[in-house]
Amino acid sequence: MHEMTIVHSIIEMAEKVMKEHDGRSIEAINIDIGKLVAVEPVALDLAWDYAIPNTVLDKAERRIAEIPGEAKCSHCDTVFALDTYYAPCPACGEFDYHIMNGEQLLIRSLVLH
Amino acid sequence: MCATCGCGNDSGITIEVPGQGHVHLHSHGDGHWHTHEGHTHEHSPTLADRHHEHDHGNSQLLQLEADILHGNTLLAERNRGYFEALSVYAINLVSSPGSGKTTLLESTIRDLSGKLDIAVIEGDQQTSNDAARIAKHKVSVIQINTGKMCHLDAGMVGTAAKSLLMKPHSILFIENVGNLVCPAMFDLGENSRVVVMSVTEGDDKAIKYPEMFRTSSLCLINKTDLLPYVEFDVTKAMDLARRVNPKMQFIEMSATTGEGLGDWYNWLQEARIT
Repeated sequence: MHEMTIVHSIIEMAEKVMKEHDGRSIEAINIDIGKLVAVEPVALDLAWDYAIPNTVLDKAERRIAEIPGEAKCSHCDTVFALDTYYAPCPACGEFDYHIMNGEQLLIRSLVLH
Repeated sequence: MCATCGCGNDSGITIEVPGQGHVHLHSHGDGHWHTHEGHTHEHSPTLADRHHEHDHGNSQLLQLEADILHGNTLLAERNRGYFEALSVYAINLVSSPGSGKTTLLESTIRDLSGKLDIAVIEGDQQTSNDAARIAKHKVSVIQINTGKMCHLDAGMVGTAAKSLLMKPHSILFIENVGNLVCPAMFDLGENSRVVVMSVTEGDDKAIKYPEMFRTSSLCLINKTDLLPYVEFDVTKAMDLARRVNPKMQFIEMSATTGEGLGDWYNWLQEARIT
């Protein structure tokens, strides 16, 4: 599944950053995953446990922040919470909106020791 | 272990031109897939150049705000540049397995022979069955086998595209792995993403797999010749798709009987010109 691809990308990015910080180790990694992103937490856990040993993230604490979905309606400008892509604007019922939050898939920060 | 470069990174991913040998793709952790037929790397600015640091005693917080799919995004843009330089129009064809993508390509190639130059990248986990079907029509085709991976990514497509003979102003069809979930997240550098939904699959596909429909601009409703035999409400299917993507366009067709293919060919001609 693609959660494995995502974990591999996280490891690669952490390794790239750690090249600039020789001699240090990663204490914790803060990851933001938007609620609208198609990443299954259980699959991510499995992929993580499988791929992480013997990498720069081996002993790191994994902290995942789930970012709620938020959209702005293109018809009535209402800003509203969004759980799924097929929910209508609660104010006017339209489906044409701009996603403002909840699509992130990023490494927010690393805590180095 | 790779006999050429000694790395243990044989990914299980291969690219093959029908009738010729296949090459294995390796990644050395830099996000690029490469073969050993000669390649150059240019490295974009590292992540480390862009972060800033805060020191708190022994622990140091490193702000990254780094998109995890950034590597793929960069390679996708590189593909875009390559296609633009060749004036090639690239289409990422996505769907669940068995919707009729390959049959549609065969009909398209046959009917537009002499009118449009076409090249094809086929993606499947295993076998080159689809590339062999396309090769019979005498167009440039290459097969990517993703092995255990469930989607094509921009790196694989970039490598394959460079092994493909493409004439300027041609259309490149990238037939993705049959999967409505994972390919949605991976930009290949295409000009358009076209999703195929066949009437045997149920009319609520769009809300079951919203990300794929949200990121596609055209939805082909295929196998319309089977409508008398299945409970598929075309209007409902379109309404649901428009919920996740208000701008979605639709063409109803049957790749086997030819119904609706004229509209598809018009769409292709127009897309290539604009």
